[in-house]
Amino acid sequence: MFETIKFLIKKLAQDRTAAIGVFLILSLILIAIFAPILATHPADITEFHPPERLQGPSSEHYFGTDRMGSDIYSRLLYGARITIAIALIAISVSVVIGVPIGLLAGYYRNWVSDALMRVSDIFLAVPQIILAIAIAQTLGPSIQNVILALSATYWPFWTRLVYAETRSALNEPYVEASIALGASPSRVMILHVLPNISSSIIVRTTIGMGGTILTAAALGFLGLGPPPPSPEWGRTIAESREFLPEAWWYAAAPGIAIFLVVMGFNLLGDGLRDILDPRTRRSKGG
Amino acid sequence: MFNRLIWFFPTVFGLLLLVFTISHIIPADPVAFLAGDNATNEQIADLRAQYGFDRPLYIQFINYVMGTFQGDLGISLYTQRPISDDLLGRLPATLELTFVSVLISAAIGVPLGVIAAVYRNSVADHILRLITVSGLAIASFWLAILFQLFFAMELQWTPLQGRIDGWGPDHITGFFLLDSLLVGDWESFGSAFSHLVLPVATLAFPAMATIMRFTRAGVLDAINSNYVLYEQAMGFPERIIIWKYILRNALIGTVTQIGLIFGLLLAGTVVVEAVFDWPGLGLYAVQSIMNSDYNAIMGFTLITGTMFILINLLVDVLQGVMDPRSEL
Amino acid sequence: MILELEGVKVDNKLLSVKGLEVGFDTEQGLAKVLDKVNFEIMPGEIVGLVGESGCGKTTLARAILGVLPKNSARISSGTINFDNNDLLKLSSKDLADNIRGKLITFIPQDPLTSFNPVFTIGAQMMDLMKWKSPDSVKGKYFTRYKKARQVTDKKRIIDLLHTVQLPDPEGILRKYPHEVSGGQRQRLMIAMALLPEPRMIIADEPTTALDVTIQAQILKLLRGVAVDRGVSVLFTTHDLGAAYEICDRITVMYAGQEVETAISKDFFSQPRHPYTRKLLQSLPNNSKNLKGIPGQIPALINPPSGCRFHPRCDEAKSECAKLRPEVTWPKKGHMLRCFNSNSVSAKETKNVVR
Repeated sequence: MFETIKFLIKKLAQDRTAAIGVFLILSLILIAIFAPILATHPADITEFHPPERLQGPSSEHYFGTDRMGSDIYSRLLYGARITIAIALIAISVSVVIGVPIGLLAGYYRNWVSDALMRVSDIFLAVPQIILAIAIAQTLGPSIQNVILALSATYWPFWTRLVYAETRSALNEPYVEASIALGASPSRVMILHVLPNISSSIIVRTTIGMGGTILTAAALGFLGLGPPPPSPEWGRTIAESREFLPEAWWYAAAPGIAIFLVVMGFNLLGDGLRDILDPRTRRSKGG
Repeated sequence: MFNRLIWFFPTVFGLLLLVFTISHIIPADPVAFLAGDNATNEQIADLRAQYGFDRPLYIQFINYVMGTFQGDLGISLYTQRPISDDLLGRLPATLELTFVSVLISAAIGVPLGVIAAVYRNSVADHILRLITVSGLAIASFWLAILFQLFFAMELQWTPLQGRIDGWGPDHITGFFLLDSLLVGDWESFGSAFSHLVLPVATLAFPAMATIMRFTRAGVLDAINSNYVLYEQAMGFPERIIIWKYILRNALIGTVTQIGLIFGLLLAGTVVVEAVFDWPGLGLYAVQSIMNSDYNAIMGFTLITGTMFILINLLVDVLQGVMDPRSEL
Repeated sequence: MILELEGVKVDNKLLSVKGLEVGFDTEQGLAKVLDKVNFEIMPGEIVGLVGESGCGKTTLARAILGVLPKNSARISSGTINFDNNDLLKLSSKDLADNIRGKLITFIPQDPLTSFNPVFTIGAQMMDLMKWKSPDSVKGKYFTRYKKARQVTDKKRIIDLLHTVQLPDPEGILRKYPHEVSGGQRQRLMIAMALLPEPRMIIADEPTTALDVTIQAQILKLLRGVAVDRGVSVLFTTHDLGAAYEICDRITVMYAGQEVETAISKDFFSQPRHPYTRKLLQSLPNNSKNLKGIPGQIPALINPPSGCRFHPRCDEAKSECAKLRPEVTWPKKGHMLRCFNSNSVSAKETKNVVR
């Protein structure tokens, strides 16, 4: 297991763009963890200073101040926590729900599997954000509801992916052999199928983080995310609109932050895919 | 292929069920909300009966489904008008925006993808790959705001928002570009065109990036194939090999992704219409969110979901037609 | 039509490759795939290029055509004279327009993947005719395909489809490549190779991908049409039996070096090079003397010096590692590159018969 990790790290280091991705993500994680230390005005998450509103970038306020006079830089750092939390939890939950369902549906071929796949198909028939809007709006704006909405609309993706891969893994001779030898279903699924599909899951999880962050930001932009005074990035951009074009920093900072974070995950995901799935290596550089 | 067609109906039905379920997990009581703070319990009960919220759930569902088949999606809690009317009125705006965006993103994305593949690892390829990755990492709503900031506010090259100045051309199809051409209303055409520029640019950017990526991969696959080797060995002109033989093969893969791209676009219209004040379905959804108009949101979800299912179906059929190897 | 070679410069050679040196850039370094190879074909001759996988026969074929991978192939020296023109000096556009598909055509190894899967067979053949028909005229900016010419070309196609013994030519033209059988596809390939009325066909292992039962038919067909039209054929293969079926003359290659050339009869009855002898001995028909060849084909990044076969050769002498043997002509028409005595042992007179 450690061998594979070491191998992975070595390969990643060789791929320049993937290395950039890793750098960006690590930065994000560090910023999120050390936000209270890195922030210049940590109290601005909840405090307001109206007299100082809408000031441009300065040595005191690196990214300027927002409409309530709060330091945008500090709020941005805390916003990183929200972004990571939402994306990480939403993806984890959807994977934890979706993967087992997919495994089971792929292993047992009966009407239950068919029904589960139909349900997944219905969810997948609608773009994620549209369903997420419906759910989030129904439940009300809060961070938990955003996570809920995202998880509820993402699990079918994993289910369908894992279902297809389980089906094809089951056709492998060695799996058939172990079933014939009397291996129990859970043994087959965990010991044989799961390791094979794990690389696929890892790659898509990473790429999925990027998409989830964008969707979460869109929900925040639409007012469906954590309510004020939350420093969530999408909401900050929405707040900034009425003060454009003068207070350009107000919109630029959170937008660039989102861009860098999503870019990081995308680059890392691409890099992982090149390593773990040799078939696509050809089209990328070879 | 028949299988695919038949699955359309259960899928839409499932969507109906899903939408209905979501709309009924409301913790709050929409009727009480509507009635206002000062309403008495009696008034609330009356209102509830009026909207049919007092009947058992399954009856409500059946009514809902029946209504849907007759084109009745309920009454908007906010505008008090039939939701289907509202949606229908706004459909052309969204369709026009989406359609033009697909055209532009394909017209730019496909050739660029071919070039990136043919000149693999050159400077041009790296730049194009950079664009691709950026295109998929930028938040649409932020890009929209940036475009507005730069092109509309600073440079004043395009209007800030909206779909057209004035009333627009006479209504024939509802597509302003088409209608103004048909009646020769050049002023409207120009206005509609200039208003389309920024929204289309915003929507098309991620779509173009995706198309470019898939076309590049498809062309690279084809370049390494035996039939290209044969065509080269037999001395076919290089440009014919690329733009006729390879492209046709690569396009099959790209067309498959149109469903994916359409999904991207649909998702994008919500925020893009919000930023540009574009009077389409997306803006309707956003406004309904603001107004807590649950019915309207459900109607919107249903309609866009169905459109998406339909498009995917068409793509499946199209793919079957384009690739002679597939079993129709 | 078998021509006697004198080993003396004969000016009417159709194809003359001299001293061709080709390397491929790989991650581990430059693979020296062809080591100053000489090779000749006379007009109307069918020459077999025989050797194990990796001996360079496909590379040589591709080098003649000019379709080596652009990014990794390096031609460091040599000439490829076709009809007294050095192909290596022509621009790639010139090669593509005037030589490939017109004077030299190609029959690939796998006809299934060599057809474009999304166009009908007829469309692909007509396209070939558009650019390569004997009547074709290349316009300055674009080439028009006049109706009248389309009609004559179509007739040419149908006639050739009859010649290659394909039933229902019209019907086949409407089909897609995956809808016809492997044998039919290869007949189509033969037809396409003949349509432009070329002087030479390069057939790269054309029967390897076919069923054994069909191989003989295709080989007979290929020989028949080539001889009828006086078209030369460069036929690469690792299958000596196939070479026996259709070749007038056979050249053996080992690890990028050509080692022996002889007319078919002499090749099978009096092989002189140790490698050739080993090849013949390892054929399953020689059940009494069945031997493999010990050792492996060398990696070409750092190939053996001198004669590249010397590490595996029973009769290797000290000179073999120092220098590559020169071209010698132990008999009229029989070329050998070996330091060993050129006597033929009587034991080797067993013929190979399928």
